[in-house]
Order: sequence, then C-alpha cells, then structure tokens
Amino acid sequence: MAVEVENKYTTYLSFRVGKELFGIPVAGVREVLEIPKITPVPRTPDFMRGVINLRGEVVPVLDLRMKLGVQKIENTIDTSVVVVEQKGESDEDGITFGALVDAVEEVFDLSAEEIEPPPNMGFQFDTHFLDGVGKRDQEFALLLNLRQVFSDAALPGQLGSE
Amino acid sequence: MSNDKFQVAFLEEASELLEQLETLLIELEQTPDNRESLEATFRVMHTLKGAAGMFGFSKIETFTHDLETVFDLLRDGKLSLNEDLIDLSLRARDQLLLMLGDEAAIDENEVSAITAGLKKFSGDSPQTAPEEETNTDVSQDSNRCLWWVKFVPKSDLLLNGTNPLHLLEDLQSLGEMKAFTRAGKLPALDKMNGEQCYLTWDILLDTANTENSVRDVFIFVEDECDLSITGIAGNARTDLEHLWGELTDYFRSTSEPDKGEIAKMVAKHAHPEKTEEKKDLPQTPGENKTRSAAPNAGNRREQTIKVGSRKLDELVNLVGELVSLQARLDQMSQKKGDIELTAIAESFNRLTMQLRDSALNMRMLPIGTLFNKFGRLTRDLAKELDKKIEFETSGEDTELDKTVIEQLNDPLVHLIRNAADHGVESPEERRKAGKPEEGRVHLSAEHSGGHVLIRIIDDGKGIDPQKIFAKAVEKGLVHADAQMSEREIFNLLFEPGFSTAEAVTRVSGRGVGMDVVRRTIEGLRGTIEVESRLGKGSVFTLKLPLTLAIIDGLLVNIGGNAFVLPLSSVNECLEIQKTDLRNEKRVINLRGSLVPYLDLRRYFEIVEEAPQIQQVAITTIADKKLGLLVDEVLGQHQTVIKSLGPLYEEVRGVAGATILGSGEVALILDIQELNRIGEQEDLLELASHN
Repeated sequence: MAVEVENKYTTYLSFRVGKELFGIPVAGVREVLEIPKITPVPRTPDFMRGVINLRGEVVPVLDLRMKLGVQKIENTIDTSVVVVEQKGESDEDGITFGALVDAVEEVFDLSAEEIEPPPNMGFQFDTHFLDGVGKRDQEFALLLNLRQVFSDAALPGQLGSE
Repeated sequence: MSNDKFQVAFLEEASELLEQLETLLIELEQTPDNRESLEATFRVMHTLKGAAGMFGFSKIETFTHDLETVFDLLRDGKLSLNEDLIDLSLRARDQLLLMLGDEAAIDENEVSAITAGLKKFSGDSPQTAPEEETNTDVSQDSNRCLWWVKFVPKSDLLLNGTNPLHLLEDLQSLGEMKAFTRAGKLPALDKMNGEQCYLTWDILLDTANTENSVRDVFIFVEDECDLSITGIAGNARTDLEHLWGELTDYFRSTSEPDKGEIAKMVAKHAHPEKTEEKKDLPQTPGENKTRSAAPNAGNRREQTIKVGSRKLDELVNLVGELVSLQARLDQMSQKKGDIELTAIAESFNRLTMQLRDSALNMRMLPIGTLFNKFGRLTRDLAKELDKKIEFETSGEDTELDKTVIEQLNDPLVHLIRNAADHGVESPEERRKAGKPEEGRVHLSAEHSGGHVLIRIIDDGKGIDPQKIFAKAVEKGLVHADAQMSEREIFNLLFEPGFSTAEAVTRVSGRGVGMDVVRRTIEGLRGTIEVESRLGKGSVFTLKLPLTLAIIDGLLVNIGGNAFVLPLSSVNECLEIQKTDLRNEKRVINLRGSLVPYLDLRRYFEIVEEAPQIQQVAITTIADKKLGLLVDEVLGQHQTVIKSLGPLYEEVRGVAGATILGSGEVALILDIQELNRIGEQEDLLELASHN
C-alpha cells in the first residue's frame, strides 16, 4: 500500500458504498467522474460493469458495491466513478481502472496512530480487502486496499462464470 | 554521461554489424567464391574494429583485428576459404556478441582457442600480409612513382553493385591522387538511365606502391572496365597541386591524352627537393559535383534517421486519436448537413487517412531482418542433427509492422526447427526415397491483400494424417469414429497437449509447443495452416495482418450495444427473418450451401427479445465459413484498436475495444475465437443429444 510512513499524515479520499464510509489514499486517485456511458463486456462477472472512454483511453469499471458483497449500485445523481491508478513493478504493469461508488465525500488526513487494523467481524463486507480502519468525526472509515480488490478481479477463475 | 550515450550508439551499431556478419558468413559458406560477400565481410569486420577502437572497446578491437587479418589474406587470395574457417568465424562472432553485453559471460577459453585458431590460419599462409592497409608512408620516397591510370568503366558497371567512387577512394589510400572526370558520354537528363555509368576517369597517382597494388584496386572490376596503368615518372617528388591545373586543361582539350605530353608537363613541375606532403586532397568543388552525380544514382543507399520506437508508437497513438476524432467530425457534419462543413470534413478525412497510412508505414520493417537470423539456425541444426539442409529465403523485402516482426521470432524458430527436425530426413533416408541428399527448407514472405503470407516449406517426409489422428484419439482430443477432413486433422497439431515427435529430441523438444505457436499467431490476429503431402514435404502458412494498430471494421449492433467485426474476415451480410431461424440445426442456407452460425445474442446472454429481422455477417477464417447473427449491421468503421487491459484479458471472443465517433466504447470481436466457441458449442450440443 502506498501509505507513506515518513509523512505523519496520509491523505485519503472518502466515499460511500451503501451506508458504509470508505477511504483510499488520494495519491492513487487520478480523477472522479460523473457516471459515463459504460459499455458492458459480455460473459464477465456482474461486478465488472464494463469499459468507459476516458479521453481516448479504454478504462474498465468495477462495481465496488457488488464486489464487496452488496447488491448492484443503482445509479443516482451522486453515483460516481473514482478513477484509480495502480502503479506496478514496471510501467507496463500499472493499471488504471474506475471504481463505481454510491457517492464521493471529501478528502481528509489520517495520522498513523489513527489507523487501526481491520476487525475480523462485525462488518457486512469482506474484510480482506481492508488495510485498516480510520476514525473520522464520529464515524469509522474503512481503508480499502484497492490492489487487493483489483487482483481478485483479475482472477481468471471468476471470469466466464455465470 | 555523453560518453555513455556514444557507447550505447556503438553497442547498437555493433550488434547490427554482427548480425550482418553472421548473414554474410553463412552466405560465404554457401558460395565461397563470391567475391562480393568476401569484400562485404571484410568491410563489416573493418568497420567493427574501427568503431570498437574509437570507443575504447579494446578487447573487441584486438579480437576483431585477428579475424580481419585472416579475411584480409582471403581477400588477397593468399588463403582459401573452408568450412573450418567459417566455423571459427561464426564462433568468433558469437564471442563478440557476448563481449558487447556482459563481460562476465565471455568464455575466455573459447576466446583464446579462437584466437589461436585464427593465428594458425594467418600464420600458416606463405606470406604474412602487412597488418594495416598501406597508408602513404613518406619515408619510402625512393620507390615513389607517378602513375597515370585511365579508368573507363563499362556502362553496366553499376549493375553489379560496384561503386566507382569506392575504387577511387581505395586508390587515394595508396598515395596522393588527382582524378579528372570525363562526363562527355553523359546523355541529356531525359535519356539518362540511372543504372548506367557514363563517366570515365583520368587519374594521376603518386604512390610508393607497385603497379600491381594499383592494379589490385580494380581487381574486381577488371572485366567491367578498360583499364590502363602507365608509369609517368619514377623516383621523383612531383607537386601534383601545381601540376594539376595545367594537366586538367590538357585533359579537357583531348579525349585521348598522350603519355609523352603528360610526362613533359610532369617533368616541368618536378621538385628536386622533398616537400611536405598533404594527406587530404581537396578536390575543386566543380569537379566534385561531376564526379558524384552519376555514380550516386547507382548507389542505392537511402538516407535514414534513427528514431526510437517509443516515439513511433507515440505517433501512431496520436494518429489513432486523430482518426477517432475525424470519425466524430464526419458524424457531426452529416448530422448538420452543412455543405461547407461537409467539404472540410471530407478533406480532413482524406488527409487523416494519408497521415494514418504514412505513420503506420514508418513502423514497417522488411521481414528480411528476421529471416537472416534463421540461416544460422538451420545451419547449426543441420550440424546437430547430421542432416544436410539448404536454407532459402524469398520475399525478404516484404514489410510488416515492427511489433508483428518482433513477435514472429519465436513461432518461426519453432516451425523451422520442426521442419529441420521432423520434416527433412537424414541423408540416407533421402537417398533411399530417391531425393537429393540435401534437404530444403524454404522461408518465404509475400503480400496478399491486406495480409502478409509467410510460408515455411520443407521437402521432407511430410505429415501422415492417419498418425496424427491416431495420436489425437489416444490423447482423447477427438472421438475415434469422428469424421474429419485432412485439414481438420492437421489442425489437431495445434491443439494443446499434442506432440507427435515419437522421441522428443533435444532440438524440437525444448521451447514452445505448437499450441503456443498458434496462440502467438492468433494474438497477432493471424492464422496458421498446414498442408502436407506424405513423402513430398509440408507447408506451414502464416497469414498475418499488415498492422496491428488500426483496422477496417464492420460496426454492428447487438442488443443495443455496438460491436466491431474485422472487415477483412467478413465476406457478406444477409438479412434473415426470425422465422427462418426456428429450426433445430443452427445453420443457414447460403445460396444452397449450409453455413453454421453463432447467435451472438445468445452467446452474450442478452435476454430481451430479438428484432423480427436480423442480419448475419458471413465470415471466413482459414477457409471455414461462419455466420454471426447480429441485430443490425451499422456500417464501416475505421477502428483504432485499444487493449482492454489485464482485467478483461481472459474474456473469450473479444479482441479489444475501440472508441466510436460518439465517444462510446465498442468491443472488437475475435472471429477466430468465436469460430472455436461455435465448434465447442456444437460438440456440447452433440454430447447432450447422445
């Protein structure tokens, strides 16, 4: 995870999936889009919603809500695509993809002490996608490890299944 | 830092030179009497030596020098070429390649063994040739002599690749030289044939070398020119600079200069005392022009610039964007119906297409660069397998996209290995079969429409379809009572888990399998096919698209989403009534013949009701027809291919994506894969019926 230890604070982007609040390091976020026209790719798992045209680049979009174990996101006025860039070992390994979320909230800082390891239970989500939990105001923000989400998506076994 | 940059440039150049060297050596092995190859080989070595010395690669320099010495002797006819020497040279070339890369990888023993071998060749010869080419040596004044060389090339001198300028340069390296060019035979420009030499020369050469060494310069063109070498004055220093003005006037005044006249003029300018010698002889500019005009027409070397391939990729990407944008402009202008806008859009369209073509063209390389490597491969294979194999290539000039060429290497290596190992028989077997002992492996390339066909042809024992079939049954790939055509049986060769070699030999047993070959070729949107006749040989044909970046596509609509079919594999489109499809068998009647079709709606799991009238695009892959049932054919589309990225890598039947004029993303369908899926579904269906 790209959390920079030497900086005391890491900046996160928070968004909601369902009722839950999530955070990802803002360093990996390229931009936030209103929901564009998504071209579905046939015979792929439902959470892989398809591809979009991002200024000439073809970018896949994942439905985070579905991926995390809840139902498909119904489009509302707040529905957004968070475009994330994951750096790989080399230039070619890097990947850009969009995460479909219910609503994007704000950018906030968390210090290392404010982050706790993910709890083993008590969430309606699959916790192995989490890096930790951070407190923001009166709420807990679940810190997502997008690399994990992404590498799970790429598992060939999941593709082509009904 | 800048030094590093030069070193990188050197390394690049050197590896190119080594590649050339390899090709030339193989050529020499086949045609040992080929003077031109020998000369070229020597030149390559010489260039390499020079460059290595300049950039401080002293090891390469000394090593190449040893090699060069031997070839110099060959050039002078003091040694004759034999197989051992070629072997040694090839080994040396391999070591040189290592020297360019990792110092640690150099096998010191091998290097010293080669050096010793080379020394033996150069040392055993009766006379040891002077190591450096003879440069003007001022100290040998006593032997100096002034020669008048009259050089009248025949008009077809250029046709065999001789550049008279090089001869003059060689001559100049012998001493001080002045040349007078006669352009009198030069016809009017419209009558001029660029491949003919119209010029003749009168040359004065002040040198310490003998007449023979002067004559040697012209040794390769003796039959193609009239040459006379006349001694004018000996043992005297002549001031050519001063003499020259007068002499040119004389030469200009007559076409048949007289020796006596020249001698007189020379004597007038003879210098009793020693003068400082000028090494570089500037020619008067006027003369230079006449000298270079005609010979350059025969010199086909093109001006080239090296550009990083990354920059080219970027250019092609940008052009791709431009093509997408142009499609949008087209759409917009059609919608607006404004005549002026349409005119602009049309001109823009033409320009974009031209730009596209030339941008793509820049990435094209002649396939010969790739073919050349295989000469060595077959040679080594033949040695290893104790077979006699002659390797031939044709169509080396055929151009293909750089990326395609790069990815072709492994599949071709595999196919050639197979041809040498399983195809060509051992010499005894061949003799028994009444064939010449030497087998042939032929690699050819040619254009065919928007494709390039690459064939690997051997005249070996061929492939036995029955053997293949039996093997496939044994491996459980097909049912024992399946009815298969010969072509279908040959295609089994490419199934994963199929290998016919009864004993896996070291040669073909390693590396990729035939299934990987097919996958690579299909990854390039190409196809591979086999033809074979038992006892006669086999032909593997690769059909590859010219470029990977942009294709002509057919835009279709399936369930509200746009898809693109590569137009090159679509033959025709038919309308079809829903009622016509209500039969059990999934075939349609195409002018009396039955063509299977794949319902893409069903395949893509689109649940809504299909429209009353649908369309079928009839596609052909490897001579097999398959109909693809779509809702509607929308039209043609210039398709810039984009990758779907690793997340969608495994999706079957989709080859990539493209961006439409509307900004929407459309998926490009992979017709080969759909073909295979169609077959599998048939099999599944058959299984469920039984």
